[in-house]
Amino acid sequence: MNKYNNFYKLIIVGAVLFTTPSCKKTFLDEELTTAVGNEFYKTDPGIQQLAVGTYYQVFEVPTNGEWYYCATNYGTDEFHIGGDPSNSPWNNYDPTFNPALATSGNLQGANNQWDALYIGIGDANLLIQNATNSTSTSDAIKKTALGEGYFMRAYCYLRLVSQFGAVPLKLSPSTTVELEFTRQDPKDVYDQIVKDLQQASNLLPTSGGPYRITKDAASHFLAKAYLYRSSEINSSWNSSTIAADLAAAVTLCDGIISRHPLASDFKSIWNFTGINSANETLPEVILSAQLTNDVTTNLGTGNTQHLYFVSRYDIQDQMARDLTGDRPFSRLATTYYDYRLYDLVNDSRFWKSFRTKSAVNGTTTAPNVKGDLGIMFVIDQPGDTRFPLSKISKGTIGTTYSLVNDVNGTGKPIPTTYVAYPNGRTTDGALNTDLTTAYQAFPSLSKHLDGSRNALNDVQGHRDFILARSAETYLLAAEAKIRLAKAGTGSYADALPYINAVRTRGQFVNGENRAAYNDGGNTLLSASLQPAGVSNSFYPGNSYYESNNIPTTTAASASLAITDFNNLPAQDQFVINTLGLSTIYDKMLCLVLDERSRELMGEYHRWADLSRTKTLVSRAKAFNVEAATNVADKHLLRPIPQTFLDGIQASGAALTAAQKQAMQNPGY
Amino acid sequence: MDVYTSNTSDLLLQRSIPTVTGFNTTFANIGETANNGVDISLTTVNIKQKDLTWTTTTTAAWQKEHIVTLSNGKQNDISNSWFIDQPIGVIYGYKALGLWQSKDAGEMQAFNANGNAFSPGNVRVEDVNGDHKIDGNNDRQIIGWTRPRWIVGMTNTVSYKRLDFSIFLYGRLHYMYNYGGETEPARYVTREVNYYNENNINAEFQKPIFNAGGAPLDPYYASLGYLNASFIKIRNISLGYNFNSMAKLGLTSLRIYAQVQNPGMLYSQIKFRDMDVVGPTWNRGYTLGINASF
Repeated sequence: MNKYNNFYKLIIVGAVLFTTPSCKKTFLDEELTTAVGNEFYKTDPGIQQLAVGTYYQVFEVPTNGEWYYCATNYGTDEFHIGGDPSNSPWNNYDPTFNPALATSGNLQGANNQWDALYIGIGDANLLIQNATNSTSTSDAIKKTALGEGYFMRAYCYLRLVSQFGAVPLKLSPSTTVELEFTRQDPKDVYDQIVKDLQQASNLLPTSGGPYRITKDAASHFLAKAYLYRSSEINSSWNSSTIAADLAAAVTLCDGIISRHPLASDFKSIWNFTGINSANETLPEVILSAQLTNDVTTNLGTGNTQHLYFVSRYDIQDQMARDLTGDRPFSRLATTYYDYRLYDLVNDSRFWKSFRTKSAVNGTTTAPNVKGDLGIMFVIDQPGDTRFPLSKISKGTIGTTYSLVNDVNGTGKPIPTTYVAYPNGRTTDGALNTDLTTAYQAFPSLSKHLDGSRNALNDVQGHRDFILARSAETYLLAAEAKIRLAKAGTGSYADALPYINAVRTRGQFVNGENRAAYNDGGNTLLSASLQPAGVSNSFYPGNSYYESNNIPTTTAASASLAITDFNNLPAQDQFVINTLGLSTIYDKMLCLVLDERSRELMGEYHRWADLSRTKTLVSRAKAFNVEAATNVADKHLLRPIPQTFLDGIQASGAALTAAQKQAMQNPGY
Repeated sequence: MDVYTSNTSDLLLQRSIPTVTGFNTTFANIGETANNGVDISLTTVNIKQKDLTWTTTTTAAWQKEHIVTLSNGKQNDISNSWFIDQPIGVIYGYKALGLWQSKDAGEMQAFNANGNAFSPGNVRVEDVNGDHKIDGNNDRQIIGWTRPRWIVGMTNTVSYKRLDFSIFLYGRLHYMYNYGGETEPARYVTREVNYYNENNINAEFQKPIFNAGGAPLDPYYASLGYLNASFIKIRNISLGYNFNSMAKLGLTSLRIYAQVQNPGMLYSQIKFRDMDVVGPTWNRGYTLGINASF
């Protein structure tokens, strides 16, 4: 036993002696395999993952939440407060819309947009740095990833400069806490944007869109940056670049247009028939944020923009909330500008952009049954005497009036009918009266509706978010031509072919059923997802014939093409008269802004378009009832967030009140 | 009794930084704090007689901390609410002076001419630099600190013959709490709020402004949420009786007792919240018990 013990001790001593040197190496050196450090970003897979993360922050994050529509659709001529004014400061420009506006509940603070964009820029800077330093021989790393980095940085700066004017230019990643920042003039910011987009355009591949950034996507945004730089808001300093910018913009647009033909039918762009359906990859789409039903890639709650344009169909008579009707957040209501803007007889785009009919889907009252026409919005013209009230329903008719019958369908009474111009009324606003009651009724913009969600109140959407499509490219070119004509190059008539291409695409074609309707709500994954006893509120028709009051026809619509710029369409003439425009340039700019609305309604461009052309104040005063009383010139730029001013320093010292004021945009 | 003073340097905290860097927050050595305090614990026997004993144990802790320097030197850091010579955890904002009244019409007009939109019943906040314009650069101030200066406790125990009684008090004093103010949302369950209307102009809270969604239209309503939070609470009362000679029942001892946990506040500046648990709800418990040993 004793012998054994000694032997045992010997083994232990020997083991310690012989293994000690190797212990030092293998035992103390820890290899961290569960966390990713900055070193990872220098590898090829690291750079590609960095690119994916930057895509996410720059393209997908904005679609998830409320600041995106606040900053781009609210407070314009196109949309105003729906029934839910959670974010009313962004539309109304009231005194609460100030630098210190803080996020609370649904309300978006002054800093949300700023923060999201700068974090995107931080990611892009990291991507650019690592792709630049990479010694990889792979094109996907050295060229594509680098091009994507440049593109996304420029994309964020273009949004920033169009919202805030002068902003800090941060072009390298931070590795320490930096606090000293100053605002760079818009001129410097645009110089950087143009430089980045030119580099991106040289580096990026020609294919891979619309989910990967392509050369054409870079060109589209470069043309847009040229046009923004040439706009009125920059007129104090842009004279040296304007001629070259506009000419370059036209050339770029012509190239993109040749490679991205318009879809033959406006409807097919929005014809979302299910997750990743064919409409999302049409050649017309140049760039979009990709969303799928893969929850691991839709971090957070995916694209939630389907919520905000929907009116409260669910509380109307015999109606119930359902998946095809979407969850009605009722934030953005259509304005009367939208009802006056379209040639409602010949332009199909209104009827393909808005939901004007819903089907009875709740607890029914005889003679109605589920599937009958339940809600109808009649978008008629001033002076129409056919309908006595703006809302015709059991609750409003009393004994004097009766419900409107569904003369083009079942013939049965329609439980709820809304009328834009009732009882011969010639002034706007009849439909706005219900917005302050529980019945928040307006025709919902249907471009973002998403019935493919997994549950009734699920906010997670699966639709792609279009960032650029060639119809916009046409209108960028048209605007550049108009600006060139003003500067003495070419004629205003040069813009017409571009505008007409978009307009004529919007016509009804021969044989088309003008009352046919579809939208993304009609994509129910399974009937079992609907609440018990509730059927689809989606209705496959629109109020074309009830609104226009014309006989049924399947002929092609009259041409929408404009042949003479001195003879603009009646709808544009109406806007021109309302705004009191007199010069040919102002009228043509008005036309292109109107056309952008008709084509790109609710596609998150509007506020920047009105701000840069300095038409925000006049258009909001004329067409946005809540904004009209407050909107002023200072609102052409957003307030610089107080959180930024509070957080930075100058020469090692926190900013004084006077320094902060000096750094703020004027008027705030 | 302990008296202490301590200095802490290289304090590692999460701090928010300008997003222009590409990041929201970072962990950093933020600086140096100093802390002075006194802890007192005192037990007194107030009465000690044959049948009656009364003892009192009192504990009190007083603490005052302040930031000596931050990583950028002696510079206030508003975005993190860190101010030199102030404690960590202060409320920084507009100081409410009450509500605007119709008799202040002239004063309101002066503000409204500069872009404010005050009307009677709105929250009136202090215009620190007196320029008749409420703005974030000039008119925010340090309202108070959110860590209590005093934490006190007291236990009284009285026994009389076979009866014993004890009561435990606990309190936090001399600090403030920001509960957010009243958004006056009609849609949700809310406590009874003393709000301004034409018949109640000397109200505690601002007038409600119609808004179906939730953005409170009074920009300074939150200033009415900064409240003095001091309180003294009765945490526990107990009463017991010890029976003697239970031998014929086969027991060596028998005690019956009754206890109440959290019977209520002795004193609290905020009436609608239990500041001990920092919430509107708390547990109140009654215990009746028998201790028997066989």
